[in-house]
Amino acid sequence: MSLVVVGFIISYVRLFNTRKKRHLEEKEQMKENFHLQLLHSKLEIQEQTFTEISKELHDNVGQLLSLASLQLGMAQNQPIPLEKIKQNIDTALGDLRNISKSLNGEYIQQFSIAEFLQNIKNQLDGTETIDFQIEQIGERYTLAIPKKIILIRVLQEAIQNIVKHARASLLRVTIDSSSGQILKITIIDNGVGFDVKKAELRNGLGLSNMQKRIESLNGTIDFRSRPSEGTQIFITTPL
Amino acid sequence: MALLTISLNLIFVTAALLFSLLILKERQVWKIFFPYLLIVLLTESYGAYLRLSGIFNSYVYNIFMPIYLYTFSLILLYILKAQKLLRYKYLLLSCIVLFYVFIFYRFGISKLLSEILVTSNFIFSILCLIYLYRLMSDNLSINILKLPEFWIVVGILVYSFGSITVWLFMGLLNTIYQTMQLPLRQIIMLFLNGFLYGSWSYAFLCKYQQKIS
Repeated sequence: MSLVVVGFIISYVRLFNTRKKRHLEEKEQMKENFHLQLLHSKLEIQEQTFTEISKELHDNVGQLLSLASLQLGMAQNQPIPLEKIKQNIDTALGDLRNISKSLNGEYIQQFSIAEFLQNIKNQLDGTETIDFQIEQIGERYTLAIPKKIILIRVLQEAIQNIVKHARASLLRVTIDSSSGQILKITIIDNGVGFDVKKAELRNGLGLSNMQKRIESLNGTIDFRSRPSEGTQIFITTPL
Repeated sequence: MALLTISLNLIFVTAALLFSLLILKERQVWKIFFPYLLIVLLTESYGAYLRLSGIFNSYVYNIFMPIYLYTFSLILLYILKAQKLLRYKYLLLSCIVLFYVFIFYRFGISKLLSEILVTSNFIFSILCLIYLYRLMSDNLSINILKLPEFWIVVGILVYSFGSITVWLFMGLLNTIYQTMQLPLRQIIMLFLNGFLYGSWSYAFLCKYQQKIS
């Protein structure tokens, strides 16, 4: 009988070690997936930043400098107050400084999620097409930089989808860290909505990408939407 | 043969007692191993002395039994992280005494030891199996062979299962002894004691390694 128990224990240890090996392999795979998602997020953020810079250079800095050049050309023939030209050049210089800051690789890392959203809000406020509201619940929290980069990329993608496709007049993002252990982010818009099942099948809106990224953070993401009923996205991730 | 089994038994207990010195300064349940093993050594030594002198020694083990039950219960409840139950140590002790008295009145002094051992070892085995089940489902990232709690439980499980078998087949083992002059019961108990104290000694060593690393 005792030998049977000893045999049972030897089998138990073997089974435990097999399961442990499988568990470690899964953990390793999750780690690899996390790094892959991080790399993709970084690249996409970089791409997004370059697009924004190109737009900014063309629309603002380029226009201001063209105007200043035009004004200088006109100054050869008729007297124009130099103060106006200086003002345009100063504004262009300020914009260039901001652009140069955003080229810095660590630029995004300095922001909290709320600050990052505030930046997007500032950009969107200028277009006057959407009312972007940000609400923060709970005390300040710290989030590891790799986690933050992935989360920022997911938020960027979600907001981009809303701005591009939802035709919404209201966008509300709530960041809730009140539990101290879990970060909950809710994104709600009053746009045209979409069929979640169809979108998941086609992956046209990058839903599965967002899903993979949040899963790599050990978090969850839930899309709730119906045509013409707006969209709600619920994200939870451990702090 | 009797002298050999007695000597080996005492060597196993003494070895475990010496290894328990390594965890003397540990907290919680770990600190009860040294006094318990000291009591075991004294009991076994006195029991062996009486046996070799031809004096009936059952009463020594009858007195020792509540200490055995209380200590094993505490160890297993601690390992199973039953903190709520551990708060009521006096209640646990009272239950053990009541159980002891009940068995005494129900079966009498002659069957006291066997009835208590079979019942309590059955409960201990179940608790050990619960621990092993939980370990498998809770935490897979640890090195099980270096886990002190695992070795404590393995020792108790093998000892408890073995003891139940020995007490259940006591009649058969006695017949074998009388007909073939083979002290199978002593040999099995020696193996069980060796396994129990060997596992515990290794567990103390693992606990000590955890502390220094």
